[in-house]
Amino acid sequence: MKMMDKLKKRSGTVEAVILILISWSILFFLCGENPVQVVGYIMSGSFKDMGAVASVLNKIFLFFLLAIAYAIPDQAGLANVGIDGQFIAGGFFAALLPQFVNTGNLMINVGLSVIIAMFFGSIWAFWPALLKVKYGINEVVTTLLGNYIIIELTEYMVAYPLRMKGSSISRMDFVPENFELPMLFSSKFSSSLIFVAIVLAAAVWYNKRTVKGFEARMVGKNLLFARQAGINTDVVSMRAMMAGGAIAGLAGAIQALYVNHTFQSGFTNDYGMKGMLVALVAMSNPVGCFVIAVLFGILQVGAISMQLSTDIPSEIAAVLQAIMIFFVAAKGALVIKRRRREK
Amino acid sequence: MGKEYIQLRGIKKTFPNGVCALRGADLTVCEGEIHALVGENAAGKSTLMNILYGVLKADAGEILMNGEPVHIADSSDAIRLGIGMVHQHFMLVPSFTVLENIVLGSEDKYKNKFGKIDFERARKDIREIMKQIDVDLDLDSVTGSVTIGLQSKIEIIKALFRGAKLLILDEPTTVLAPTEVDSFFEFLRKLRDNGTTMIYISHRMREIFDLTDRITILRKGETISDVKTDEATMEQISRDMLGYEVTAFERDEKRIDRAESNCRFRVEGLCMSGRRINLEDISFEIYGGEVLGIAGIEGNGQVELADALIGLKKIRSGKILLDGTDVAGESISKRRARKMAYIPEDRMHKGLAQNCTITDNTITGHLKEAFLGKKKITVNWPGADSYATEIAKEYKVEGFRSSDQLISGLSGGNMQKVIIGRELYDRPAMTILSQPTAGIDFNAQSIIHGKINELKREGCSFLLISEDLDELVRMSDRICVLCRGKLVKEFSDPEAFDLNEIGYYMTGVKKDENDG
Repeated sequence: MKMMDKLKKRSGTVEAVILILISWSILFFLCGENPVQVVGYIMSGSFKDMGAVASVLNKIFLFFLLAIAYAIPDQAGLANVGIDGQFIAGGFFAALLPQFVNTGNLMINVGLSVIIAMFFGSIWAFWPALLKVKYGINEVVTTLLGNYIIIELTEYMVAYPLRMKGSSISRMDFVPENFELPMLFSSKFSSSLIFVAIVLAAAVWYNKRTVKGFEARMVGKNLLFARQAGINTDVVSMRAMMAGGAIAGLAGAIQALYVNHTFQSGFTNDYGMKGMLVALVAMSNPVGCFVIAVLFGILQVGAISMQLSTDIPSEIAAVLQAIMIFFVAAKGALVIKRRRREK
Repeated sequence: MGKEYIQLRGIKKTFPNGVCALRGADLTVCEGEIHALVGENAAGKSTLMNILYGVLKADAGEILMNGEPVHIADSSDAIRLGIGMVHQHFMLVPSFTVLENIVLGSEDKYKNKFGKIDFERARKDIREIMKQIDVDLDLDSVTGSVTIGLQSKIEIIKALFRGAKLLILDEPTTVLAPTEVDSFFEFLRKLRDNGTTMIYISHRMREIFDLTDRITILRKGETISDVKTDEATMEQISRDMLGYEVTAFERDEKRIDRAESNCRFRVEGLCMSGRRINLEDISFEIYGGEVLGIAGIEGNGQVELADALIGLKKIRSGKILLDGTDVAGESISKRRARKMAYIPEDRMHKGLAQNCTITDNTITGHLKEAFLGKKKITVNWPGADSYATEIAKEYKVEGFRSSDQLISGLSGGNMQKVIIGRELYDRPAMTILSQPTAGIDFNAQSIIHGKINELKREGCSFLLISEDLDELVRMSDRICVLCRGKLVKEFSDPEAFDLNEIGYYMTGVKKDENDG
């Protein structure tokens, strides 16, 4: 849709943004701080040095990928609440691979890990999708419970059979150096940036330009309509879920190979849920997912340094995010109606 | 003219989605009369009555009762003022007895001190009402097993039970077979003689002239005229309803070639188990350039038949032959590729994706090389937009500004034009039309019927499933009646379509004696 039409649609986004900023400011006032200063601390905390920037970027990329993992099935009408499980599956197998295969070549190693991770991520999304299309079983239930299944399985694996010898916490052996995600052209930036860029471009292209993306969107908007038009809705649904699982698996590979250098107990700190929230705020729009992921990432990391400079605890980040979600969910009701012109 | 009883003045109503339903409508109803509220679909009749009954709130205007302004904030206000309404789609609980359904909503008046409902007292009161209007219903029969004709009477008695002096009847005959209409009208006349005033919403001329005393005509949300039925003519009413003269419909005189070689669509022994009704041994054929009409009262297998033919539901046995090929086992996309088209009865939920653009709705299921990119992977949106615009212009879609706009901004009739435009674009071999003009304004109806006739001349065949007998009689070359999942009778001579005969078969009163 054209830009002007989008702006005219008055979906309440503008009202929601204004109310969010006002609520945040009130919150900061109540904590006895100047809102503008607080924002300043959050921002400076995120950007004060290369270490901080790298940390923020990691979070942003993580949130973005997990948001896309939720957004793609969402566009096709499915609620993929199993992103955590798919994330774990991906990370687990990505970190496990070096124990079996090591080609000695960094690029190939990393490539293999990523592929394996995406494969297992999509497997973990495959079975809930199959149950949904064949038996109509609600995917929220299956994916959510599936999370617990895989958490317990992997926790057990790293606590006993796969546990690194001599480690005090449950974790796998560290990923060898020739499996670690390389830096980008000897800069301080991780090459995970490339993956993110590819996923973003692919998601945008898929949605806007491809036939399959269009059909997936129609399935999401009205399943019966798509079906009577001849679209194979079962295939579309499965494809969407598995794509989501694959991307969550990719996020897991990056987390394992780059951030943690291993797979350990507590691999996911509810990142999946955060990713889902990003997607909800962004309404499953890929570019929006990136923008909101940036916002969430800065809040997450910057809140810590904000805590150092003010009396506000870093947990406030969760409150700020919650306020965002609250007003975005309500935005349909926020639209200030003009008197309609009579036709 | 009796005393002025109810007056609506200057009622305005615009819905949140921007549709302006009423722009200052007036209605004056006198005591003891049957007053027709007439207008084509989407003229504002139902909206006006929903405002009177408190279901909707008007943006402007006033309501007067016996000269005094009244405020109707919700339906309980309306009921207290003695206004009752019988909607087109009944609001009865099928598993309740007739007695329970009538008492439903009035429990408070009949509770004894323990909180139990005193059904015996209610029964007495209901019998009193029934005696006054000379009607006898078995109060203990289960509502779901009672005929539709009786169900509409139950709805009316329920309104009277709640003390209605004014009854609003919203198109009550749409669910009745032609044979049931007469006895229904007798019943209404008894009500009138007993002192009940009625507002009768309809767009069926014959009924209005048969039954009513005065007529108010709405067009595009405004009151056009208010006349005595005795002094009005059909042409005048029709002209006021539409705003222009209507030329008589010319039936296409071309003879249908019913040779085997020209048989485009044949169904043999189709059996299907549906959720509510099974299809048994359905067999028929349609020739090139022919419209086969399927008559039947809602719920006799129409939806199941359409779903089975397009492939939404699997059949148990039988053959579906499209231009000679049995497609019974094929997917919907294969059937569509063989040039089968489908216009579903539920345009809102099956025929469209509501919050999508007109372009989205036009190309779904109808992707064409003209607007597909290389190797059919990408969509060429400018091409798709111009395709959608072409269809919108061909069908004179009103309210169309650009194919980028949401389809939900169009009126029902115009949405249907888009659906029909996309389905008929490729001159399909066989089109299934399920209630194609239900609830649609006359203008859109004419355009749609005109297109069907145009395609008939090109050899396309049509299956027209419709509950509107007028439409069936006007458009069909043959009519089959669907009753309880079976095709019970075929009427082959368009010149001799007898509505009463068809009605008997529709209600199951008559069954075809010879099998096969």
